[in-house]
Amino acid sequence: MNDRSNPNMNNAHATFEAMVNAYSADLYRYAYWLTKNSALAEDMVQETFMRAWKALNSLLDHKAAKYWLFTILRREIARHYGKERHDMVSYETDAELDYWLEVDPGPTQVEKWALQRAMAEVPSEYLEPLLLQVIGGYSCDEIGEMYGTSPGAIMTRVCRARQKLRKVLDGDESHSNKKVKT
Amino acid sequence: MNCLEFRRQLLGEPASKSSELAAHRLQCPACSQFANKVQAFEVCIKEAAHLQVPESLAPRILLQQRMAQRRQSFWRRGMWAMAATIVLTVGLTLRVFLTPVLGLEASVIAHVENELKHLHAHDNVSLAEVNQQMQKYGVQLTQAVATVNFANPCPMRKARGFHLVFQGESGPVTVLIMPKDYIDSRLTTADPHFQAVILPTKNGSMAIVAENATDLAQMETRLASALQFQS
Repeated sequence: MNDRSNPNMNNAHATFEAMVNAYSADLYRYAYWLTKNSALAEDMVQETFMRAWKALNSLLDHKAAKYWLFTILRREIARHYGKERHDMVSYETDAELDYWLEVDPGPTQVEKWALQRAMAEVPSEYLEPLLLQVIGGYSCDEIGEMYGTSPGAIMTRVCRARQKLRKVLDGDESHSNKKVKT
Repeated sequence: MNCLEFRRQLLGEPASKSSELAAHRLQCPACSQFANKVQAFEVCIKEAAHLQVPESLAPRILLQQRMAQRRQSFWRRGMWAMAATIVLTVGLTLRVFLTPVLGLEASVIAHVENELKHLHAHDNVSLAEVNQQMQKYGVQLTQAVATVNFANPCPMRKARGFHLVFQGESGPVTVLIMPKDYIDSRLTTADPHFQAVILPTKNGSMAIVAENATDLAQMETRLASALQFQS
Protein backbone atom coordinates (compact mmCIF):
# COMPACT_ATOMS: atom_id res chain seq x y z
CA MET A 1 0.00 0.00 0.00
CA ASN A 2 1.18 3.47 -0.78
CA ASP A 3 2.31 5.11 2.44
CA ARG A 4 0.65 8.36 1.46
CA SER A 5 -2.74 6.72 1.25
CA ASN A 6 -2.33 5.02 4.60
CA PRO A 7 -4.21 6.98 7.29
CA ASN A 8 -2.04 5.51 10.07
CA MET A 9 1.06 6.63 8.20
CA ASN A 10 -0.41 10.09 7.70
CA ASN A 11 -1.12 10.31 11.44
CA ALA A 12 2.41 9.20 12.19
CA HIS A 13 3.77 11.89 9.87
CA ALA A 14 1.64 14.55 11.50
CA THR A 15 2.67 13.45 14.99
CA PHE A 16 6.31 13.35 14.06
CA GLU A 17 6.27 16.75 12.40
CA ALA A 18 4.51 18.26 15.39
CA MET A 19 7.13 16.75 17.68
CA VAL A 20 9.97 18.14 15.58
CA ASN A 21 8.46 21.60 15.47
CA ALA A 22 7.68 21.66 19.17
CA TYR A 23 10.77 20.11 20.70
CA SER A 24 13.75 20.17 18.34
CA ALA A 25 14.88 23.61 19.53
CA ASP A 26 14.94 22.69 23.23
CA LEU A 27 16.58 19.37 22.46
CA TYR A 28 19.24 21.17 20.46
CA ARG A 29 19.91 23.60 23.32
CA TYR A 30 20.20 20.73 25.76
CA ALA A 31 22.58 18.87 23.44
CA TYR A 32 24.59 21.96 22.71
CA TRP A 33 25.28 22.75 26.35
CA LEU A 34 26.39 19.21 26.99
CA THR A 35 28.53 18.83 23.88
CA LYS A 36 29.62 22.47 23.46
CA ASN A 37 29.58 21.73 19.76
CA SER A 38 26.85 22.99 17.46
CA ALA A 39 27.35 20.44 14.67
CA LEU A 40 27.52 17.56 17.12
CA ALA A 41 24.42 18.82 18.91
CA GLU A 42 22.54 18.92 15.61
CA ASP A 43 23.65 15.38 14.80
CA MET A 44 22.55 14.19 18.22
CA VAL A 45 19.14 15.77 17.84
CA GLN A 46 18.71 14.36 14.35
CA GLU A 47 19.68 10.92 15.55
CA THR A 48 17.26 11.28 18.44
CA PHE A 49 14.40 12.04 16.10
CA MET A 50 15.35 9.18 13.79
CA ARG A 51 15.24 6.81 16.71
CA ALA A 52 11.94 8.32 17.75
CA TRP A 53 10.51 7.88 14.25
CA LYS A 54 11.49 4.22 14.15
CA ALA A 55 9.90 3.64 17.54
CA LEU A 56 6.94 5.98 17.16
CA ASN A 57 4.50 3.10 17.55
CA SER A 58 5.80 2.52 21.05
CA LEU A 59 4.84 6.05 22.08
CA LEU A 60 1.43 5.36 23.56
CA ASP A 61 0.82 8.77 25.11
CA HIS A 62 1.73 11.67 22.86
CA LYS A 63 1.72 13.98 25.84
CA ALA A 64 4.81 12.13 27.02
CA ALA A 65 6.63 12.79 23.75
CA LYS A 66 8.87 15.52 25.11
CA TYR A 67 10.02 13.47 28.08
CA TRP A 68 10.56 10.51 25.76
CA LEU A 69 12.66 12.58 23.36
CA PHE A 70 14.79 14.02 26.14
CA THR A 71 15.37 10.49 27.43
CA ILE A 72 16.46 9.31 23.98
CA LEU A 73 18.75 12.31 23.53
CA ARG A 74 20.26 11.88 26.96
CA ARG A 75 21.10 8.27 26.13
CA GLU A 76 22.42 9.32 22.75
CA ILE A 77 24.82 11.77 24.36
CA ALA A 78 25.86 9.23 26.98
CA ARG A 79 26.46 6.71 24.20
CA HIS A 80 28.56 9.25 22.35
CA TYR A 81 30.76 9.86 25.33
CA GLY A 82 30.90 6.17 26.05
CA LYS A 83 29.56 6.14 29.56
CA GLU A 84 26.87 7.29 31.89
CA ARG A 85 27.88 9.72 34.51
CA HIS A 86 26.80 8.87 38.01
CA ASP A 87 29.07 11.03 40.06
CA MET A 88 27.38 11.64 43.32
CA VAL A 89 27.59 14.99 44.98
CA SER A 90 26.92 15.90 48.54
CA TYR A 91 24.63 18.41 50.12
CA GLU A 92 25.60 21.99 50.40
CA THR A 93 26.51 23.41 53.74
CA ASP A 94 25.14 26.45 55.44
CA ALA A 95 28.25 28.40 54.57
CA GLU A 96 28.04 27.61 50.88
CA LEU A 97 24.36 28.44 50.69
CA ASP A 98 24.94 31.72 52.50
CA TYR A 99 27.03 32.78 49.56
CA TRP A 100 23.80 33.66 47.76
CA LEU A 101 23.13 36.32 50.33
CA GLU A 102 26.55 37.84 49.85
CA VAL A 103 26.22 38.37 46.13
CA ASP A 104 23.95 40.76 44.38
CA PRO A 105 23.39 39.23 41.01
CA GLY A 106 20.71 41.67 39.88
CA PRO A 107 19.47 40.12 36.66
CA THR A 108 20.17 43.27 34.70
CA GLN A 109 23.80 43.21 35.73
CA VAL A 110 24.40 39.69 34.64
CA GLU A 111 25.70 39.60 31.16
CA LYS A 112 24.18 36.78 29.26
CA TRP A 113 27.41 35.89 27.53
CA ALA A 114 29.22 35.70 30.86
CA LEU A 115 26.66 33.29 32.19
CA GLN A 116 26.92 31.25 29.04
CA ARG A 117 30.66 31.07 29.52
CA ALA A 118 30.05 29.99 33.08
CA MET A 119 27.66 27.28 31.90
CA ALA A 120 30.34 25.99 29.59
CA GLU A 121 32.62 25.55 32.57
CA VAL A 122 30.18 23.63 34.78
CA PRO A 123 30.90 19.89 34.67
CA SER A 124 28.25 18.03 32.73
CA GLU A 125 27.22 15.80 35.62
CA TYR A 126 25.91 18.93 37.30
CA LEU A 127 24.84 20.80 34.21
CA GLU A 128 22.85 17.97 32.67
CA PRO A 129 20.07 17.74 35.26
CA LEU A 130 20.04 21.52 35.53
CA LEU A 131 19.38 21.79 31.79
CA LEU A 132 16.60 19.25 32.04
CA GLN A 133 15.02 21.56 34.59
CA VAL A 134 15.72 24.86 32.89
CA ILE A 135 15.16 23.82 29.27
CA GLY A 136 12.98 20.75 29.67
CA GLY A 137 10.94 22.12 32.55
CA TYR A 138 11.17 18.88 34.50
CA SER A 139 10.97 18.47 38.24
CA CYS A 140 13.58 16.64 40.27
CA ASP A 141 11.15 13.72 40.53
CA GLU A 142 10.88 13.45 36.75
CA ILE A 143 14.60 13.81 36.19
CA GLY A 144 15.24 11.22 38.88
CA GLU A 145 12.95 8.85 37.00
CA MET A 146 14.85 9.53 33.79
CA TYR A 147 18.18 8.84 35.49
CA GLY A 148 16.87 5.92 37.48
CA THR A 149 17.92 7.61 40.69
CA SER A 150 16.27 9.34 43.62
CA PRO A 151 14.84 12.86 43.35
CA GLY A 152 17.06 13.77 46.30
CA ALA A 153 20.19 12.90 44.35
CA ILE A 154 19.00 15.01 41.43
CA MET A 155 18.17 17.89 43.73
CA THR A 156 21.70 17.73 45.08
CA ARG A 157 23.16 17.90 41.60
CA VAL A 158 21.08 20.78 40.35
CA CYS A 159 21.66 22.61 43.60
CA ARG A 160 25.37 22.14 43.11
CA ALA A 161 25.08 23.22 39.47
CA ARG A 162 23.50 26.51 40.43
CA GLN A 163 26.10 27.05 43.08
CA LYS A 164 28.87 26.45 40.60
CA LEU A 165 27.31 28.67 38.00
CA ARG A 166 26.90 31.45 40.45
CA LYS A 167 30.45 31.17 41.62
CA VAL A 168 32.05 30.68 38.22
CA LEU A 169 30.18 33.72 37.09
CA ASP A 170 31.44 35.70 40.02
CA GLY A 171 34.96 34.39 39.56
CA ASP A 172 34.93 32.73 42.96
CA GLU A 173 35.43 29.06 42.47
CA SER A 174 36.90 28.75 45.95
CA HIS A 175 33.41 28.57 47.45
CA SER A 176 32.45 25.59 45.41
CA ASN A 177 35.58 23.74 46.40
CA LYS A 178 34.80 23.89 50.08
CA LYS A 179 34.65 20.54 51.74
CA VAL A 180 31.29 19.31 52.78
CA LYS A 181 30.33 18.94 56.39
CA THR A 182 28.99 15.53 57.16
CA MET B 1 11.31 23.29 57.71
CA ASN B 2 14.53 25.03 58.69
CA CYS B 3 16.48 27.56 56.66
CA LEU B 4 19.09 25.11 55.40
CA GLU B 5 16.44 22.75 54.12
CA PHE B 6 14.53 25.62 52.54
CA ARG B 7 17.59 26.83 50.66
CA ARG B 8 18.63 23.39 49.53
CA GLN B 9 15.18 22.71 48.17
CA LEU B 10 14.88 26.09 46.55
CA LEU B 11 18.24 25.78 44.82
CA GLY B 12 17.30 22.29 43.75
CA GLU B 13 13.97 23.38 42.32
CA PRO B 14 13.39 27.14 42.22
CA ALA B 15 10.06 26.66 40.43
CA SER B 16 8.75 24.37 43.18
CA LYS B 17 5.19 25.07 44.28
CA SER B 18 5.73 23.34 47.61
CA SER B 19 3.47 24.76 50.30
CA GLU B 20 6.19 24.14 52.88
CA LEU B 21 8.60 26.32 50.93
CA ALA B 22 5.99 29.02 50.53
CA ALA B 23 5.21 28.97 54.25
CA HIS B 24 8.86 29.22 55.28
CA ARG B 25 9.48 32.02 52.81
CA LEU B 26 6.68 34.03 54.35
CA GLN B 27 7.96 33.72 57.87
CA CYS B 28 11.72 34.06 57.24
CA PRO B 29 12.90 37.38 55.75
CA ALA B 30 16.44 36.08 55.15
CA CYS B 31 15.17 33.08 53.23
CA SER B 32 12.74 35.27 51.35
CA GLN B 33 15.69 37.42 50.26
CA PHE B 34 17.58 34.26 49.36
CA ALA B 35 14.64 33.07 47.29
CA ASN B 36 14.38 36.36 45.43
CA LYS B 37 18.02 36.16 44.44
CA VAL B 38 17.86 32.52 43.41
CA GLN B 39 14.74 33.09 41.33
CA ALA B 40 16.20 36.19 39.70
CA PHE B 41 19.28 34.20 38.87
CA GLU B 42 17.08 31.45 37.48
CA VAL B 43 15.67 33.89 34.95
CA CYS B 44 19.23 34.70 33.89
CA ILE B 45 20.10 31.02 33.53
CA LYS B 46 17.05 30.44 31.38
CA GLU B 47 17.93 33.37 29.16
CA ALA B 48 21.50 32.21 28.85
CA ALA B 49 20.48 28.64 28.07
CA HIS B 50 18.03 29.84 25.43
CA LEU B 51 20.44 29.68 22.51
CA GLN B 52 19.54 30.53 18.98
CA VAL B 53 18.79 27.31 17.17
CA PRO B 54 19.96 26.78 13.56
CA GLU B 55 16.97 27.52 11.35
CA SER B 56 17.69 24.53 9.20
CA LEU B 57 17.48 22.04 12.08
CA ALA B 58 13.77 21.16 11.95
CA PRO B 59 13.58 21.02 8.12
CA ARG B 60 16.68 18.83 8.06
CA ILE B 61 15.20 16.41 10.58
CA LEU B 62 11.97 16.18 8.59
CA LEU B 63 13.88 15.68 5.35
CA GLN B 64 16.02 12.98 6.92
CA GLN B 65 12.92 11.22 8.19
CA ARG B 66 11.28 11.31 4.74
CA MET B 67 14.40 9.91 3.13
CA ALA B 68 14.63 7.20 5.76
CA GLN B 69 11.01 6.34 5.14
CA ARG B 70 11.58 6.17 1.40
CA ARG B 71 14.50 3.82 1.96
CA GLN B 72 12.34 1.79 4.33
CA SER B 73 9.52 1.60 1.73
CA PHE B 74 11.99 0.66 -0.97
CA TRP B 75 13.39 -2.16 1.13
CA ARG B 76 9.94 -3.23 2.21
CA ARG B 77 8.84 -3.41 -1.43
CA GLY B 78 12.12 -5.10 -2.31
CA MET B 79 11.65 -7.66 0.42
CA TRP B 80 8.11 -8.38 -0.76
CA ALA B 81 9.36 -8.82 -4.30
CA MET B 82 12.13 -11.10 -3.08
CA ALA B 83 9.71 -13.09 -0.93
CA ALA B 84 7.32 -13.43 -3.88
CA THR B 85 10.15 -14.62 -6.11
CA ILE B 86 11.24 -17.19 -3.55
CA VAL B 87 7.68 -18.46 -3.11
CA LEU B 88 7.21 -18.66 -6.87
CA THR B 89 10.52 -20.44 -7.38
CA VAL B 90 9.85 -22.90 -4.58
CA GLY B 91 6.32 -23.43 -5.84
CA LEU B 92 7.44 -24.14 -9.39
CA THR B 93 10.25 -26.38 -8.19
CA LEU B 94 7.89 -28.34 -5.97
CA ARG B 95 5.42 -28.57 -8.82
CA VAL B 96 8.08 -30.01 -11.07
CA PHE B 97 9.26 -32.47 -8.45
CA LEU B 98 5.98 -33.38 -6.85
CA THR B 99 3.73 -33.62 -9.88
CA PRO B 100 3.24 -37.33 -10.42
CA VAL B 101 4.43 -38.51 -13.78
CA LEU B 102 1.32 -39.77 -15.48
CA GLY B 103 1.31 -42.90 -17.58
CA LEU B 104 0.76 -42.39 -21.28
CA GLU B 105 -2.88 -43.51 -21.18
CA ALA B 106 -3.77 -41.22 -18.30
CA SER B 107 -1.77 -38.37 -19.75
CA VAL B 108 -3.68 -38.20 -23.03
CA ILE B 109 -7.07 -37.90 -21.34
CA ALA B 110 -5.60 -35.46 -18.80
CA HIS B 111 -4.25 -33.39 -21.68
CA VAL B 112 -7.70 -33.08 -23.22
CA GLU B 113 -9.36 -32.36 -19.89
CA ASN B 114 -6.78 -29.69 -19.09
CA GLU B 115 -7.43 -27.98 -22.40
CA LEU B 116 -11.18 -28.34 -22.71
CA LYS B 117 -11.47 -24.95 -24.34
CA HIS B 118 -9.97 -26.37 -27.53
CA LEU B 119 -12.91 -28.77 -27.83
CA HIS B 120 -15.15 -25.76 -28.37
CA ALA B 121 -12.89 -24.04 -30.92
CA HIS B 122 -14.27 -23.44 -34.41
CA ASP B 123 -11.19 -22.28 -36.26
CA ASN B 124 -12.06 -24.29 -39.38
CA VAL B 125 -8.41 -24.71 -40.30
CA SER B 126 -7.75 -25.66 -43.93
CA LEU B 127 -5.98 -28.89 -44.83
CA ALA B 128 -3.08 -26.96 -46.36
CA GLU B 129 -2.66 -24.91 -43.22
CA VAL B 130 -2.78 -28.01 -41.03
CA ASN B 131 -0.16 -29.72 -43.13
CA GLN B 132 2.05 -26.67 -43.16
CA GLN B 133 2.04 -26.57 -39.36
CA MET B 134 2.43 -30.33 -38.93
CA GLN B 135 5.33 -30.60 -41.38
CA LYS B 136 7.76 -29.74 -38.63
CA TYR B 137 6.54 -32.79 -36.67
CA GLY B 138 6.87 -35.19 -39.58
CA VAL B 139 3.12 -35.69 -40.12
CA GLN B 140 0.91 -35.00 -43.11
CA LEU B 141 -2.81 -35.46 -43.83
CA THR B 142 -3.22 -36.76 -47.36
CA GLN B 143 -6.92 -35.96 -47.41
CA ALA B 144 -9.51 -34.17 -45.34
CA VAL B 145 -11.04 -36.48 -42.76
CA ALA B 146 -13.29 -33.96 -41.04
CA THR B 147 -13.50 -30.26 -40.31
CA VAL B 148 -10.47 -29.17 -38.33
CA ASN B 149 -11.66 -26.92 -35.49
CA PHE B 150 -8.26 -26.48 -33.84
CA ALA B 151 -4.67 -27.13 -34.88
CA ASN B 152 -1.68 -26.00 -32.93
CA PRO B 153 1.72 -27.20 -31.69
CA CYS B 154 1.51 -28.29 -28.06
CA PRO B 155 3.94 -29.65 -25.43
CA MET B 156 3.50 -33.38 -24.96
CA ARG B 157 5.00 -35.77 -22.43
CA LYS B 158 8.34 -36.33 -24.13
CA ALA B 159 8.59 -33.57 -26.70
CA ARG B 160 6.71 -30.80 -28.38
CA GLY B 161 3.96 -32.29 -30.54
CA PHE B 162 0.75 -31.32 -32.25
CA HIS B 163 -2.80 -30.90 -31.00
CA LEU B 164 -5.73 -31.27 -33.41
CA VAL B 165 -9.46 -31.16 -32.80
CA PHE B 166 -11.73 -32.55 -35.52
CA GLN B 167 -15.46 -32.24 -35.76
CA GLY B 168 -16.73 -35.81 -35.27
CA GLU B 169 -20.21 -37.09 -36.06
CA SER B 170 -21.55 -36.40 -32.61
CA GLY B 171 -18.84 -34.30 -30.95
CA PRO B 172 -15.26 -33.08 -31.04
CA VAL B 173 -12.48 -35.59 -31.48
CA THR B 174 -8.96 -34.76 -30.32
CA VAL B 175 -5.81 -36.08 -31.97
CA LEU B 176 -2.49 -35.70 -30.19
CA ILE B 177 0.71 -36.26 -32.15
CA MET B 178 3.29 -37.27 -29.53
CA PRO B 179 6.87 -37.44 -30.86
CA LYS B 180 9.37 -39.61 -29.01
CA ASP B 181 6.70 -41.22 -26.84
CA TYR B 182 7.13 -44.70 -28.26
CA ILE B 183 4.80 -47.61 -27.59
CA ASP B 184 4.90 -51.18 -28.81
CA SER B 185 1.24 -51.65 -29.64
CA ARG B 186 -2.20 -50.09 -29.67
CA LEU B 187 -3.49 -48.99 -26.26
CA THR B 188 -6.95 -48.01 -25.14
CA THR B 189 -8.10 -46.06 -22.11
CA ALA B 190 -11.18 -44.27 -20.85
CA ASP B 191 -12.57 -42.18 -18.05
CA PRO B 192 -16.23 -41.25 -17.33
CA HIS B 193 -16.13 -38.55 -20.02
CA PHE B 194 -13.65 -39.64 -22.66
CA GLN B 195 -12.45 -42.72 -24.46
CA ALA B 196 -9.03 -42.88 -26.09
CA VAL B 197 -6.93 -45.01 -28.29
CA ILE B 198 -3.16 -44.66 -28.58
CA LEU B 199 -1.40 -45.87 -31.67
CA PRO B 200 2.30 -46.36 -32.36
CA THR B 201 3.75 -44.17 -35.12
CA LYS B 202 7.14 -43.94 -36.82
CA ASN B 203 8.44 -41.20 -34.56
CA GLY B 204 6.46 -41.87 -31.39
CA SER B 205 2.74 -42.28 -30.88
CA MET B 206 -0.59 -40.69 -31.59
CA ALA B 207 -3.69 -40.49 -29.38
CA ILE B 208 -7.30 -40.14 -30.49
CA VAL B 209 -9.69 -39.00 -27.77
CA ALA B 210 -13.43 -38.80 -28.23
CA GLU B 211 -16.52 -38.58 -26.08
CA ASN B 212 -17.98 -41.78 -27.46
CA ALA B 213 -16.84 -45.04 -29.03
CA THR B 214 -18.49 -44.36 -32.41
CA ASP B 215 -16.65 -41.11 -33.03
CA LEU B 216 -13.46 -42.71 -31.77
CA ALA B 217 -13.68 -45.70 -34.06
CA GLN B 218 -14.68 -43.61 -37.07
CA MET B 219 -11.76 -41.21 -36.60
CA GLU B 220 -9.30 -44.06 -36.07
CA THR B 221 -10.36 -45.62 -39.36
CA ARG B 222 -10.22 -42.37 -41.30
CA LEU B 223 -6.86 -41.33 -39.93
CA ALA B 224 -5.36 -44.75 -40.60
CA SER B 225 -5.55 -44.08 -44.31
CA ALA B 226 -5.14 -40.29 -44.32
CA LEU B 227 -2.22 -39.72 -41.96
CA GLN B 228 1.34 -40.22 -43.14
CA PHE B 229 4.27 -40.17 -40.75
CA GLN B 230 7.81 -39.47 -41.89
CA SER B 231 10.58 -40.91 -39.81
